[in-house]
Amino acid sequence: MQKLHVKDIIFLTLISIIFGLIYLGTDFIYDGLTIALTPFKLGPLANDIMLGIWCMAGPLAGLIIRKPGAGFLAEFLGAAVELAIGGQWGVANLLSGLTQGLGVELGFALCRYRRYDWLTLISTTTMTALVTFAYDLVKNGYSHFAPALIALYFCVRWLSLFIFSGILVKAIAQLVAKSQQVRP
Amino acid sequence: MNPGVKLLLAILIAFLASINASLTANLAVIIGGCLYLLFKKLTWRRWLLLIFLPLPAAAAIFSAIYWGKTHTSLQYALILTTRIYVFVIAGTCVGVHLSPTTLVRSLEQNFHLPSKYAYGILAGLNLFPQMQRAVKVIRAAGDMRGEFLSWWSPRLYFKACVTAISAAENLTQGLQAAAFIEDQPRSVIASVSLTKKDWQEFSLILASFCLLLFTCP
Amino acid sequence: MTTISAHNLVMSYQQEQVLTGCDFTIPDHELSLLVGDTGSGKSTLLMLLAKLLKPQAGQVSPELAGFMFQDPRQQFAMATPLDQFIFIMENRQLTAEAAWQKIKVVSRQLKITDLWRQPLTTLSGGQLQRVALAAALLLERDILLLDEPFASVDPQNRQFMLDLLHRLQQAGKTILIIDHDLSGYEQLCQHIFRLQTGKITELTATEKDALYQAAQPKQQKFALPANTEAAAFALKNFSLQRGQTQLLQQIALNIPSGNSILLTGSNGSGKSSLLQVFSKLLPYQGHCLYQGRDLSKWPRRRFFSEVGQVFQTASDQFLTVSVAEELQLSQQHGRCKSDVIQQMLVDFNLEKYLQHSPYLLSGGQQKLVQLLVMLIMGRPVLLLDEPLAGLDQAMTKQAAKWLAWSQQNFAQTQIIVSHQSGLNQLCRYHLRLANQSLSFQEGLA
Repeated sequence: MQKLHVKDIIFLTLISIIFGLIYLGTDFIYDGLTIALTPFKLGPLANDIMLGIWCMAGPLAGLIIRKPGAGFLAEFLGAAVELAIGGQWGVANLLSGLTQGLGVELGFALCRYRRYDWLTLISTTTMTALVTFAYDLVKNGYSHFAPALIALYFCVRWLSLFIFSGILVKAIAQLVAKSQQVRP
Repeated sequence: MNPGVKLLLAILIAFLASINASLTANLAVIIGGCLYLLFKKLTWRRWLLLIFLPLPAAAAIFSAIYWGKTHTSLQYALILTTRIYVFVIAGTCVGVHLSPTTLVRSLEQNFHLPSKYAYGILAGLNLFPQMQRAVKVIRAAGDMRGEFLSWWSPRLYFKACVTAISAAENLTQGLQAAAFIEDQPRSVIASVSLTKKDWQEFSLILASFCLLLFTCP
Repeated sequence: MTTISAHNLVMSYQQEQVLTGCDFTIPDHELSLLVGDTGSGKSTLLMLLAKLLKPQAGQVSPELAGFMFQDPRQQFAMATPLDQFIFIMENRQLTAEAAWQKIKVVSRQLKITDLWRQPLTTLSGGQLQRVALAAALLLERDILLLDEPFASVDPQNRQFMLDLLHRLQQAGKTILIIDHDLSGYEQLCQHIFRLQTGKITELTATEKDALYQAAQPKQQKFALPANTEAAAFALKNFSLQRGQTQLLQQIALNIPSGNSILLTGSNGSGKSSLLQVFSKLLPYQGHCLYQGRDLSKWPRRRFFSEVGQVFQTASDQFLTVSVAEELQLSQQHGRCKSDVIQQMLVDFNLEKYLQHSPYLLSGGQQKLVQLLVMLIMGRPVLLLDEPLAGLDQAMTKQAAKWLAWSQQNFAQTQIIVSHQSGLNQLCRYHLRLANQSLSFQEGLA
């Protein structure tokens, strides 16, 4: 299997940076959602709604670079970059980056790094949702919610991941592939 | 303390704090961290960001836990709220007066991070201002054509990828022109020291934190 | 042996053959120049010689070289000069003592010791290129390859570096430089090579003289704007910086609307930066007004429905994945009818490429597509940053023709920055940026 080269690593770092910069423009949505949901005791749901947006870099990098480790590294670097430029989550970033990266990478690994189609994206979506949700059960106290609420949180998370880190990512990757492909 | 060791300590503390619930341990980290940051003369701007940036998330989690359960638990709500500050303060303690260059050197020399990761990431980070400009140019290019690129537009991210691809190509040539060759050994000129004392401090802080975490509520 | 040579070199760049079986040898221990039109493939050739690119066929001599990039920012992986030097020496696996000694010597030679710990992003063009040359010298290679090393360097720094290069050449280095500006080379440079249609030839003595002569610009008369003319842009107590360098300080200036204006100034004087100010991409101090209203007060979308820019880097302009889609997008929001667009497409020789990805066209074709999509928009103001790069004479003529049409048809204000003289005839006014100030001039020089 192919190894990551320094060019791939730079590319992953750069898309982490650019995506991070674009996400800055979505902070107001997160804050707004949090404020709107808090009176209904659903404040943390903002996390689950937004997660798909924050996790786009990993699946996209995996689809473009198509080498083991690319998905993980893109997610993890995204978190590290945010820490380096003074993001609001501190080291928790690295830990979330680690779990998100792990989820994405597992998704690609399940498809043996051979196919890169809808099934792969459903696999990365599901694995990312599972791994990050397991971590949030402990870290953000989701385990203390009522079972019905837990189910709601999980479904919202999966949907968000599928819409942004699945459908949108697929659309982006197709554009990139088209623009780089030589036509006779 | 050695930058790499400091980072490892912060990650371990954050990880442990996120899997076990102890208000005392959280408060100890917050107070200890703040004292350290006072000692390191953190700028007042960073202090303000440190306090107010995590506030919405902290409030959200507090309200969800405190009012969201049938058996209200102030203790647990406070633990989750302070936990967020543990994460942020631990991160600030690592980052205060530490350049990415020094951290990368430490990871390369003391923790054997392969140089292609160390310098690939560092070189990418140093392109930050150019990437900031690139995002502006992408948006302007859209506006000029009546195509407004918002954060959900695939075109925006597609352009971001294309920009990153060509910038990565250029930067790789730059590294090559600086005689950098992947997987080739490098000498050490700016050395980052890692001593027994670093590990002693590391063990001491981690042990006392664990003691609080697993014995106190 | 330090010879730079190539045998039967073939190289394509984005579907276009830029080298078609090149054979040449650059003389040892001398300083030589490489010239050729923009987009002829000079930079690609230099990168091949430096082994930063691999040729598709043929060989280059195996000797490694010190290299200076056209864009100095591409030279640096690290944040400060000293970190970059240390990085290079660690890559060369030198010991700390040896490395420090060499770093100190080279830094003294280039007078950059006081810049060691300054962030590279704050350095001026001249400082940056001195640091870049130091980085190239620290490799201690017998060959130096420099790609437009003085593009954003002031005359003083340029002379300082030229003198140093002269001394290095006398000490035995083989140096090959790409440069558009030939001033100062007459005494230093023994050989000039020209890259044209994929082949390299050395110029004869008469050709060399002719080239130095041609470097003097042709004379042309421009009009001077009257004070009563309506202003598109106006500057008031305006100042513009790049890092620590002051680029421009202007108490007052009106740029008339509804005309084509040629903006000139030496390399790195800040022409591109000024265009970026006009398109809200660069921060500045003081006031810059568009239609009497401060740029900062213009809502982004409203503003860009008035002002368009043809970017220096063509690919920055593209938003889609085929030429056809690019045209469609422009047509949707633009002011040109389809028969006009069809005519432009034919004139620009682009009909064959409708289904191609714009990113994969040749440099010149990218420029044409870029120009086409911005012409279709028909914005009241069009800012053009090097719109002719890589175009041959025939296409330059077509570009000039359609720019003139657009100017008349939409009463467009055009501000043009171009190293080529192909658009000069088009311009009614000439705005000169020199000594950090702008003024309208009648003459060209």
